Amino acid sequence: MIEVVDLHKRFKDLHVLRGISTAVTRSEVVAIMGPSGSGKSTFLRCLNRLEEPSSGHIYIEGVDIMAPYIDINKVRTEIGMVFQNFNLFPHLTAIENIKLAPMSVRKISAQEATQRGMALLEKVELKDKAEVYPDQLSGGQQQRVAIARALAMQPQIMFFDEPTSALDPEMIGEVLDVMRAMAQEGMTMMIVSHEMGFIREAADRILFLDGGLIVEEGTPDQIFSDSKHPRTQEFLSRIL
Amino acid sequence: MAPAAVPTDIEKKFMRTHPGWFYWVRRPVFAVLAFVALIAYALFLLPNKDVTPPFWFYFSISLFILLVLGYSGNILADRDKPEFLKMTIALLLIAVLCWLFYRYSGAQWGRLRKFFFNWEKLEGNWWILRNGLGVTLLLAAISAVGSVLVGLLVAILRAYNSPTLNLFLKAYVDIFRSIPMIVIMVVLFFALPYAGISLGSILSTVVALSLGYGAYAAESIRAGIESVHSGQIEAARSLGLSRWRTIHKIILPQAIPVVIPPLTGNLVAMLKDTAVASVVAAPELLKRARELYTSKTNPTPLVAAALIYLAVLIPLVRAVNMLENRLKK
Repeated sequence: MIEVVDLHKRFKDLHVLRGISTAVTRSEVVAIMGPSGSGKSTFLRCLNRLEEPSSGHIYIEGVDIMAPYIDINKVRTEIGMVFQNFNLFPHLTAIENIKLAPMSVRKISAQEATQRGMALLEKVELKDKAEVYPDQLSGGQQQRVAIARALAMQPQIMFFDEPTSALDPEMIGEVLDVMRAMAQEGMTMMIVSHEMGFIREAADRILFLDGGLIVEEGTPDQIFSDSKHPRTQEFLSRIL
Repeated sequence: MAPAAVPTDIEKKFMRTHPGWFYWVRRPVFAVLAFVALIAYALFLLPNKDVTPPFWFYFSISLFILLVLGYSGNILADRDKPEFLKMTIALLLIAVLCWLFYRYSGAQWGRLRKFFFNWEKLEGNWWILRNGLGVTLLLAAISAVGSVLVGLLVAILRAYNSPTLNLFLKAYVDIFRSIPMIVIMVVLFFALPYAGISLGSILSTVVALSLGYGAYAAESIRAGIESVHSGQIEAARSLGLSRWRTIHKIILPQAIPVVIPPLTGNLVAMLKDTAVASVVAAPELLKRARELYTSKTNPTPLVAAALIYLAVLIPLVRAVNMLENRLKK
C-alpha cells in the first residue's frame, strides 16, 4: 500500500533522514518509535509531503507521489493526518471543521456532509458537541474531533503524529479507544507514539528509528521483550 | 496614613522611609489650606497688566502657574482622595489656565466672534463646503478600497516567501512608508506630467493615498497572516486543500479579525490625509474652505472646515474603538 525507498531529508546542514526504506500493507498498523530527534515526525510528514523529501521515492498504491505530474493535494485526500496539537480550525465549530474538506475538496453537498459528519461525531462520542467551537472542548475532545475530521475524507490511510503527547493523562484513554476501534475496523495506520500499552495490543509492527535510520523493526513482542539492537534496548529501558 | 506611634520591629523593617512632609501634604487639611492660599495669591499677588514692571510680571505669573500645577498634581496623583474631588480640581485647573490666558494674552476678545465665528460670511456658501466634504469622503472611500487591495496583494505575495519577490515587495513597502504623503502627491501631480503622464488632481490623490496607505495595509495584513499558527496551514494542506483554498478558507477567516483594527486605524489616518490633496488643487473640503477664506478675507470658513472634520472623525474614531473592543472578545 505504501512503499518507501531510500528516503532522505536534509534541513540545510542537518541530515535528518538518512535513507529509510520500508513497506506497509493494507490494514497494517505500524508504530514508529525512537528517541527525540530521531526523525520520527519528519518521516511521517515526508510521506504526505508536508515536508518535501530531499531524495528517495514514495509509492502509494504503486504510484510514485514524487513524480512531477502528481497533484499532491489529490494524494493527501487519501491520507488522513492527526497532529500532536490537534490543529482544529478555531473559527469553525466541530461539525464545520469536519464538513470543510469534504465540501470544498470532494464537492459533496452540505446536507450529505452534515449527515456524514454527525455519523463520525457519533462514532467518537461527541455528537452533542457538534455546534461547539474548539476552544470550549477539552484536549481529548479536540483530538477526537480532529480524528473525525481526518476520517471525513474517507482516507485509505491514517497518520498519527504523537496524538496523545499534548493530552492530560486522564484524556489519553478516550483518544486511544477511538484509535483502537479504527484499527479493528481494518484501517491502515502509521502511528508515532510512545504509548507502550496501546502499541503492544494494537500495532502489528514497530519501526524503531534512531539517527534517521530504521535500526530495528519487528512485532511488538519481538521489540519489547527481545530487542536486538543496543539503541533500542537503551531507549526501552528508559521509558519502561 | 502616618506610621503607628510605636512600630514593632517587623513593621520598622517594612516601613516607608518617606520624609515627614510626605505624610503632611497628603492630609485634607493641607488641601484646604493650600486652596485658600492659591485664591489669596490670585486675588492679591497676581500682577495688574498695565502697571507692573515686566520682571515682576512674568515672575509672578510663572510662580502662580507652577503652584497651581503642583497643587493639582498633588491631589490628582493621590490614590486616597475621592474621584469627584479630582474631577473638580481638574476642571478648575482648566478654568484657571483659560482665565490666565484670557486676562494676560493680549488678544482682542471683542473682535473674536467677528474673526472666527462670523457665520454671516458663510451664508449662501455652505453648499461649497458640503461639496468639498463630498469630495473628501469620495477620495477617502476610493483610496480605502485601493489601499486594501494593494495591501492584500502585497501581503499574499509576501506569504509565498520567494526571496526575489520579497526583495521588491519590501522595497515598495519601505519606500512608500518613508516618503511623506504630501511629497508623493506633489511628485505625482507636478513632476509626472513632464514624463508625459498627467493624472489630474483627483487621480493623483487617489493613486498617492492608495500606494502610500497600501504599504501600511500590507504590513498590517502580513502581521495578521503570520499570526495564524503554522499548524493550521499543515492541517488544511493534509486534508487536501489547495494553497488558494487554504488561504481563502483557513488563513483569511482567522487573519481578518486580527487585521481589521489596524486597517480601520489606517482608514482614519487616510481620511485626515485627504486634506493634503488641497496642495494639488483637488476640490476637497480644506481646498474649498481656503478659497472661501481668500474671497471673504475672513478665517471663519477655516474654523467651519475644522469643525466639519471633527464632526466626521470623532464618531468614526469612536466607532473604530468600539469595533476593536468587540473583536477582542
